[in-house]
Amino acid sequence: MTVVGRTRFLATFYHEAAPLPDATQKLGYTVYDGMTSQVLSKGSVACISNGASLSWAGFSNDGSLLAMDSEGLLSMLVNLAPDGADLPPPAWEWVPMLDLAGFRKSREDSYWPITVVDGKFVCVPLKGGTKHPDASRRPVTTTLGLRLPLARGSILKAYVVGLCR
Amino acid sequence: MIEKAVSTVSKGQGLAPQLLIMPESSPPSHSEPFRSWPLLLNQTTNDDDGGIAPTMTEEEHPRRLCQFPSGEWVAYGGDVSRLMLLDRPTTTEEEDRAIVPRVIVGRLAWDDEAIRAVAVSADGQRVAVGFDSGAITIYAYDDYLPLDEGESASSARGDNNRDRRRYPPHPFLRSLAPREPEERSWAGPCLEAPVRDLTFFPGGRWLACASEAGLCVVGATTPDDAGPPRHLQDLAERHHDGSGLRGLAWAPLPSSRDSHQDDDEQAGVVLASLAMDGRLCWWQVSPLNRPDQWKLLLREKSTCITKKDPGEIFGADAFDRSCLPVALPAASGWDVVLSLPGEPFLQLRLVHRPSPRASGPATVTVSEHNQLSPPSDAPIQGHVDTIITSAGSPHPNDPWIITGGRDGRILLWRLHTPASSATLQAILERSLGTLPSPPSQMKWWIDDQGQDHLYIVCVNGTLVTVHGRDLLAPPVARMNEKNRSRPGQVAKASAESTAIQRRRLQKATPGQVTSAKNHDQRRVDDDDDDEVEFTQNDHHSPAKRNQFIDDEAAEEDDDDDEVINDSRKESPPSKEAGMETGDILDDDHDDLDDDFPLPAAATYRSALAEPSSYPTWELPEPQPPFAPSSTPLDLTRRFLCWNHLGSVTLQQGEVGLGRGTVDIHFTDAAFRRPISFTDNMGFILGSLGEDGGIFATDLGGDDDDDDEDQDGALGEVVQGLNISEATKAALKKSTKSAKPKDEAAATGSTIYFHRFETFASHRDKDWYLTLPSGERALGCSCGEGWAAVVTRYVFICLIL
Repeated sequence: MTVVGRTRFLATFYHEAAPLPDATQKLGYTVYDGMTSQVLSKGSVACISNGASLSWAGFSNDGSLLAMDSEGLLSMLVNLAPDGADLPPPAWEWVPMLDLAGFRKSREDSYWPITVVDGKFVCVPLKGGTKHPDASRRPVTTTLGLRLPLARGSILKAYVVGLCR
Repeated sequence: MIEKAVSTVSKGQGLAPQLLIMPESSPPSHSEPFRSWPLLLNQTTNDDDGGIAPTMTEEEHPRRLCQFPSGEWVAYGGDVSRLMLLDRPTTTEEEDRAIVPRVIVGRLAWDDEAIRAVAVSADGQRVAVGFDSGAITIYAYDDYLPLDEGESASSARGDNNRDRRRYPPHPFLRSLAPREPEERSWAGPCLEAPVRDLTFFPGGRWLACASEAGLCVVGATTPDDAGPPRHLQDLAERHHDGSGLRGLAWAPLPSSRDSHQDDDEQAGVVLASLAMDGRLCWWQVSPLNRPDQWKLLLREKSTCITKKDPGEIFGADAFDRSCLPVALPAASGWDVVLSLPGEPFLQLRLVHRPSPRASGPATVTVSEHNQLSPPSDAPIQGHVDTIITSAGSPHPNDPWIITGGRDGRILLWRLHTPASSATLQAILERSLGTLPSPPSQMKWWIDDQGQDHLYIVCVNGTLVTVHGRDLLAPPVARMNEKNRSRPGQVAKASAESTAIQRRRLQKATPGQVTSAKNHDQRRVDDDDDDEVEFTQNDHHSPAKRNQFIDDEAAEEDDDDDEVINDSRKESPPSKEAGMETGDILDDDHDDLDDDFPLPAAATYRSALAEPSSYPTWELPEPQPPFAPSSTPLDLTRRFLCWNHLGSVTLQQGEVGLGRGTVDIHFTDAAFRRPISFTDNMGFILGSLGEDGGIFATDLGGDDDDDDEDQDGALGEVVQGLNISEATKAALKKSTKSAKPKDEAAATGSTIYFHRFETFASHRDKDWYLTLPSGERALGCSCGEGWAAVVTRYVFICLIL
């Protein structure tokens, strides 16, 4: 479905199965070493929200694979195994890193992703229902620091459960 | 009876359970046959801590059901040490339909260990409870006898294997504390890992235990039997490669006439063990009184479940725990049918048992059957996610099976064997509905009044019930007649769905096991055991033209028609005397149909209901390919890519000229100057990497146009550019707007790599290549020393 790469890493995203009845896309990913064609990681893209699809994917400057769904949830593929630990596969998990819904001031606002650098999400803010920036002029970019989306107050438990994908 | 239970419970130690009256739901109908009832567990405690226990969390929801011979049900399986007793449904006079059972808090805690498995012997005299710690407790009720000794029907197979006698309420469910004076219990085998499944063999003498540590079978008659030896443990560990087990299923074997011993002792069972790695092994456990003769019957070569179970420690979820094989009760004409979960399609195993009259060693064969692919125009395509659980009809000779999957769909299937084939087919009959929460286990059973019930425990902690045969499946007697008239009407189609791989059965012991071959003759030769065969979408559709081979024979040729006509002239078909052979060559295909009557098209709907009554869904389409950080194709000026290195914009050329302009602006503009070049190819994709930019076009035109140099002025312009010869040739390539006649004839996408810097000659720094005919590039990317293109044929072209 799409392919992204940076330095020596290459990642492909594909349809793992037919979409669910609620239109949730069932996607899988594979990360390769571009020079050796070795498969570094493989699994399901579990960070897609209900009813959502994959809208962006890319690598950060430290080589982490990130994916963002159409709901604006940016997730990072993280290896949960400590250094040197011998855990059976899979040890890779998708961890939500940024929820753009919290930055929107209105329902028509959106953010067009570009890249992630040094823990900051570089994007183009769009307003008025615009889905993409105008290429005829140089759009203004902005950076948003990555932060784990945490719920507050009484809905903390339910929200955390919902984020566990 | 319930009142007595409540009063008994209230005398317990510090627990005051509540009798919950379920709220009434709307009357069921064919479109919505389900009734949902929350399995709540609100209770107050009088212990030192006091307080009110919270409502069950998702992990505490019961996942499984167990039926006692008395017709009572318990729900269990969550991370709680409790069984939830479900009262027997009763029939009201008003609606003549069973009401939903009331849920009361039943037997309670054993040292706060989560209950993972409960098994009851067919006669109810033995009850086994398995815990998360691996401990097993066996309860004995030797005085528990049926109410009417005179009536006894032959036991049904599978999970509902219990005598059709009437039993009194089971004492296990009536006592509160784990140990009562009238109750005998002892510790069963202590396994080293969480228990996953327990099952008693006929007679209740043997208990099979499946845990994450493996399989073992121990005696259940006396406390001494629970000790060593543990039968089949070492064999199972070897043949399952040390993997733990998910679940068990068994079916009885017929006893031999020559035996002088008791039938139960002589016959034995065929036991199927499903491992956590997805492998299925078959064991011949016969005779039951000779465990030294138990042996491995078959070890399947390939796993039948793609997703491996990680185990409780590594976070097995509700679906992993619910992934159990189910032996279906007696189906029409077959010996035993085993239904396997874990895939979006229905997996079946047909066990051919030897004749009871056969003497000598019994030979049991296992054949593999998978779901029949429905027609492409069928609105219901089966499950779109993995099947979690299934339940077969408890009626003898009933060919129905109900499946539930992660997609929440509850589907009814009909098992069918065409008269001309030994293949077992599962045909989707209809959908019973879609649940908001996926099911974890289903049980299809018959009450004492002969009414059908379906119990479904869902992941969200609800019990969904369906009452009445008419809401589940067609009537039993009527379908028996229909089965006899249906053979031959089902068109032959591939016995596998599109997305699966063919699997083979490995011969465990040559000479004793024969793998039934139900494969089509067109499939791969069985001699090559290591080959994995990918089936075609359907064997009966016309062969599609290979896109990579220029097959002139596939092109229309008038001569071919003449050859065909001549052949028809030479051997005219005639089935009836008096048919004029000279008219056979007529292009009227109706005449040919009369001569060669084609079988009727497959019907995948029940004839009992109108098609308009079936609920239909418009399934969402898979997401199309896209390029990250790019803008739509229809824009005059668009972003091909924008990443950490910079941005690539494409300015579309004027209509008719087909020349655009590619501009590359780098993020570190102070160190890199912008790059701009003309796009004569019509790029639609692009990406920036550390070494350069990669671009791809759509499908090209005819190859013959490449050699033309249509525009002399263009050639002069190109010559003036400081670019390599290869790039010049690419730029001179015709960009006619003529579309290819069809994708098969069009050239593949052109891939162009524009290198930023080189120490070699600038004329050779760039390269381009053209993909095979018809192969369109769907995405491209490049990095340090590599470039990659993904194509519509699911290829990744990695260029180093």
